[in-house]
Amino acid sequence: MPGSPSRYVFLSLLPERASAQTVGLLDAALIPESGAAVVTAPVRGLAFFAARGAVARELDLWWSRYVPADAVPVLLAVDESGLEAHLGGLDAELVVAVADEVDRRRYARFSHCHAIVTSDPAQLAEHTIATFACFRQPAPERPHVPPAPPEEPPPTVIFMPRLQQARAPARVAPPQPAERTPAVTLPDPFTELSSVARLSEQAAGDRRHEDLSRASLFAVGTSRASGPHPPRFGLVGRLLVRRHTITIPREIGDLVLGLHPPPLVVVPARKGGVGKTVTAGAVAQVIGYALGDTTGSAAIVDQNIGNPDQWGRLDIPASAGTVRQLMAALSSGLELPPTPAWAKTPALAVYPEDRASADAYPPGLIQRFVQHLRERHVFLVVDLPNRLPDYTTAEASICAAYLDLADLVILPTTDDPSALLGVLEYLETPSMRGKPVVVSYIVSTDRELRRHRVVVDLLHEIRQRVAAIEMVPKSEKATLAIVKGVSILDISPKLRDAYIRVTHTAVRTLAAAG
Amino acid sequence: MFGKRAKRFDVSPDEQREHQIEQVHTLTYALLLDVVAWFLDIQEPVSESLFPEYGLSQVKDVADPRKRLGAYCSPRLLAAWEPVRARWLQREIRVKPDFGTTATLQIEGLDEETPRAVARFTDRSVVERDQQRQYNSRDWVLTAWLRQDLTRIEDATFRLALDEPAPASGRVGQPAL
Repeated sequence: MPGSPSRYVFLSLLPERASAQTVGLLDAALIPESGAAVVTAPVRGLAFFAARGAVARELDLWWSRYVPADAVPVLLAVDESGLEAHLGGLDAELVVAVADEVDRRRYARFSHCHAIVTSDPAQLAEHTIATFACFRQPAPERPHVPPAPPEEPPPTVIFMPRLQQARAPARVAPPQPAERTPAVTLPDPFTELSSVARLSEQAAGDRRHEDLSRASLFAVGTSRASGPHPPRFGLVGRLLVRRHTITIPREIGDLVLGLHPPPLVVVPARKGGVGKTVTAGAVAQVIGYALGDTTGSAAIVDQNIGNPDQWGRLDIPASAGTVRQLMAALSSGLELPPTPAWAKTPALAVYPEDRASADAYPPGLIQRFVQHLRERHVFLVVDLPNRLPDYTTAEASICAAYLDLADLVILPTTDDPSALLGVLEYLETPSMRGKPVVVSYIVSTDRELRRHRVVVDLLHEIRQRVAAIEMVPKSEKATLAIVKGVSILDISPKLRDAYIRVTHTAVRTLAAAG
Repeated sequence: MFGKRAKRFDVSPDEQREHQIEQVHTLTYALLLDVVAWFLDIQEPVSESLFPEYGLSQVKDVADPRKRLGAYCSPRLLAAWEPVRARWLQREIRVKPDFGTTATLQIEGLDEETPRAVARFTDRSVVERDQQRQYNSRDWVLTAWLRQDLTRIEDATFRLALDEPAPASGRVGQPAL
């Protein structure tokens, strides 16, 4: 990079998807002549500041490559507990997204910090663009002088939604404003287009579609024809009808039935985006299939409080009893809430969490809850929050309480060094002492990354401290499965085989510890 | 090597269905984006970073949205929409388009003669004319009827969704910090 004084280099420490969006927006707004640049750091979040050893050395090299001595580095980050401890001697500007005003005040004493209350990557980018002179600034608003319509340049960015497979509401929809449809006086393109009828009105065709949707829902010959699930319409329903049998090693079911008391497997993580919920769901599904022909059943429990994203995608009936209801009943001796939702997977009960509250439960109540589940199921999988176990926050205390009771911990990770460091960090917590651990390692498709010395070294260190590392191929199909409402075991044979291996290893580890 | 390659050509029914869903998803997303770009007269190629879900790689570099639409929409459909667009442009209304972060897509009849895609999305655009500014917040339903081989959209309608609440999609898919 050619040298020029006071050039900005923006370094994104944001989580992966948010980073991509923010970097894209900043890149698009850069004034080319400014010589500024936007790059994504190889290690994100707090791990960037806290890196030690080989990772720190790699980061230093990376820094010297991307941040010239005469440049002004600007870090883009999300607020994390303890981040401000690293800012004292920081020779860089920082733009940090915080959750609320209280968090913003934590950064007030640092003159080189720009804190903004937002959870939206686009807003963070807008704030950065407005703060630094190397970006094209949006035209200032002139409220008293109406812009002349003909001269107004056409908008160049359309904010588009992500299309997801439609389904019945999994949660109660948030309350809508009293007047959802405001009085619209100015038309828009859709208002205009809504006046156009179908080219060929096919009422009969429409009726036929509905009939076909219903009729083909549980096709003749499938075992679901008289299943316990309410009818579902359209493709979603058809996709969930199994077209072929999943073969699960018999040993898995045999070993599970031999475990007593029913084991509790928890799936926590230090870092988000490592496939935690997918791993928990896939392992529970494999066990469900393995128990399909027996009288036993598995349970998957959502305790990922505070992060409704993944579980919000699952197709769980709104009437299903939640963990919070069950906990309330157990603590007060009330009548137990409705039975859990039963997944399409045979012998798998699903316990969703109530999203209205993110309060923790007392450890004693969690113990009673687990006991309650152990009386009803032969295998329990709990999806935990992305937090280290301690008793400082609701999410962390949930992790600590379940880890205390856990018979096995599955730690998912990716090749991202910060995720691998997160695994090591997790292994060092007091709650993990004596717990058998299986690492579900999502392997990148990038050979250079997966063979990178930092990654190899970190994996080696992890391998010394866990029962096993099972590799799962990185595949967008894991996300696709959730978006489409399809089982992860159905979406890709490679993913299916990988998660069967993870489950097999987990069950063997439990049996060996047993 | 050849064994591996040969194996790749054995498409299972599930893989085929997956491919079909992808194709419908791609066409529906492209239709929504290109129709808006066409009505707003945005003559720009489709940015991969801004619209990563735009999967029509063969036309995304075409600046004219009408030409992009022509690559996968029935000429009759576009001809029916032409006068509507002309009327719209005459109104000289400015729009800052924003369709939220999530939408739902329901696909039906993939094995039938006319597969149908129903996308439900929320219009949060800001509409302006002279000194008047309006903040939209309405759900719309885009229904697209496709050719059986899923290569073309034969017909489509936009209708206000007034009858039922939007499926709860939460913040799914939104890249949250």
